[in-house]
Amino acid sequence: MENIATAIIAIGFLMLFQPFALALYTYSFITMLAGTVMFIIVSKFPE
Amino acid sequence: MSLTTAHSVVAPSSNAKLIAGTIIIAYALISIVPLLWIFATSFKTPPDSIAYPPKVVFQPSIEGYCNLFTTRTRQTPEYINALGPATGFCDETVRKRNMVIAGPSNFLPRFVNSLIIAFGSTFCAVFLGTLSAYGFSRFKVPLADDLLFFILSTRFMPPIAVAIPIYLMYRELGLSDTALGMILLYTAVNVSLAVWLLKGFIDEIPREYEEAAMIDGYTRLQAFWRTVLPQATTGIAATAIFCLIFAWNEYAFAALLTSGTAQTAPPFIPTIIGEGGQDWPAVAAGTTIFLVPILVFTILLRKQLLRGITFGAVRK
Amino acid sequence: MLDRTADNVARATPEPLAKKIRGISDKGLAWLFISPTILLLLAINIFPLFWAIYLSFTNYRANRPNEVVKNLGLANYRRILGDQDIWIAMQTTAHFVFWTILLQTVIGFTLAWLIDRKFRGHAFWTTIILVPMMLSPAVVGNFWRFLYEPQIGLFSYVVSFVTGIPPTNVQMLSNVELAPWAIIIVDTWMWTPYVMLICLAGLRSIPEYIYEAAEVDRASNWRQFWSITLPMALPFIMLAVLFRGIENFKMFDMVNLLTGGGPGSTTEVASITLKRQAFESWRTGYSSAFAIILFVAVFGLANIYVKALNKVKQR
Repeated sequence: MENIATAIIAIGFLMLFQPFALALYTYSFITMLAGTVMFIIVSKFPE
Repeated sequence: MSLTTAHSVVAPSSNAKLIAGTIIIAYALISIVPLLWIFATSFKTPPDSIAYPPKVVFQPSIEGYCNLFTTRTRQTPEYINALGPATGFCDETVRKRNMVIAGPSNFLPRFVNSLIIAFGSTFCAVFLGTLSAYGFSRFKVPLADDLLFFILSTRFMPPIAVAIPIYLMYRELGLSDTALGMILLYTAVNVSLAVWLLKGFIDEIPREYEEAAMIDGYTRLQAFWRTVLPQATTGIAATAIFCLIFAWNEYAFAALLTSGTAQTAPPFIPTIIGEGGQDWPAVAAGTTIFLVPILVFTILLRKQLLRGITFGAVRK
Repeated sequence: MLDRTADNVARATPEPLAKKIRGISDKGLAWLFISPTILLLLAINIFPLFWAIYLSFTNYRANRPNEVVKNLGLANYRRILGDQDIWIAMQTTAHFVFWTILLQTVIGFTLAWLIDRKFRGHAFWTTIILVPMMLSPAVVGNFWRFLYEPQIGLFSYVVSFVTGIPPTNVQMLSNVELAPWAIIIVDTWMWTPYVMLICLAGLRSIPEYIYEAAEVDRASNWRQFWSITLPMALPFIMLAVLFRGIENFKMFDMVNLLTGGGPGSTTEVASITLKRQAFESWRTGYSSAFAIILFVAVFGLANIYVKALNKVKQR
């Protein structure tokens, strides 16, 4: 689960940084926010 | 692990060592050139500093240092001739350029500000950090991991993002452009590093010492004071130097939140100007004076450096 | 010396208070020790953060404190996340972060790998290499402006000497093509030692017996490098990359002094845009929203970084 959250944060960053589509940039923030919140939650429950 | 011991590779051949050594020495020499150039420029005269091609051999002069500490005004030769004899080397050099010393520059007060703010915040951060580190190290604190993460995460905040609300807050509280405000701010940034580093150092001190002391009738507080603190001295010193270097080098907060009385040296040095642009020898002189303490500290710290930059995660 | 001070403190403390402290429970002591730090961080970091979150929903301007503050809802966020200019600032940041990390990792790892050959005097030269990273990025960045001056600057002179380009044409800071590289060079010069130091720790954490076993298996040097050295040092490399990534994502001081975002906005990284909006245009509400966006990005990375730290710690 933690790896998934890490991947979501990474995807958010790629969306923030990519030069191709403004729409991806627009939704990068919400992706990063979701990834970070998920990371904090899942890191509370060790498998 | 100190930088002197290494072990990982199975006996490199002498040829490999020679090549490795040559490349490393070449890199080290090239990377140190800008610093040597700062040092050299600080001893050049303004015309020498902007000569083409750049001068490697030159007649050393302390004009840069004179200009760093003074403000000067241009005067007519008649005016200068009417003055009495020059009172010192700086006076003489300045007069050769048809100027007279008008007064001291702001460099010294800015430098003193840097000293006050860096030492003040380091003291506070290490003091608070030692207490918290001991608390986290020796007692069962509920949610300890979360609190420690919270403490560390504050260090990652982008300085400009923090500066916006801090600017408003300090304006309300009357702390803008005060040394106290800057000390509080730097303490808050540094305390995270101090807690993490010191927790590592205190973890390494065996609990048995305190327990023995407590059996001898000491209270917990006395045991902390008499057995833990003396043994943590090296760790505290290393942590203090790290905090000091951060506070000394910090620019973003200082540039945005101070403008006059509490301004530190980093935002001040780039504003040193002479006639027609930056007075590079004076800038270089200020930079040299500003960097020398850090060079000394780096050499003192070299064995703890790794530990400091990884928040205590890599110990050896 | 320390003992004496302790006695003095004990004696100086009024009796009832001293009794109180002596009688304090371990749990009480723990909170007494930890709470000042937590309170300070709450006051200087967390309270301002929540203030910034509140401001990010308003049109507040710090230079007009008496104006009526209007609640805008999510409008600030919508504007920033739909703004072409800020998107471009992000790409500038990405260019800077990508190249600095790539260069620093490659050079830093190579240097660490070479230092690990333990040639004579390696400790001394390592210390020399480490010096740039301890210095103030602002003060040193400012001086690099001088090194970059066309003609009179040492850097430009060396470049024109080596390449034969006329010295007045080496305009590192005012050429649109070169300026982004000017800041990448200074950042790489400064922070490669950081990556090198952490990589060196990674290389030295590899137990020797693994190499000895590989020797017995007659694995080639090349193979040993790819199947032992690199994978074993990888957690350390990740640590360095993540930390430099976070730091360069919010890079401000060095860039501000070298180019100030110019020429035009070619080196305007996110922090510079933020500073221009917040402290030059005084759009406090708008820039608070931008600050929160940057903060969330950094916080996400910081979470991953702390995980990586703990992983390395367990080694």
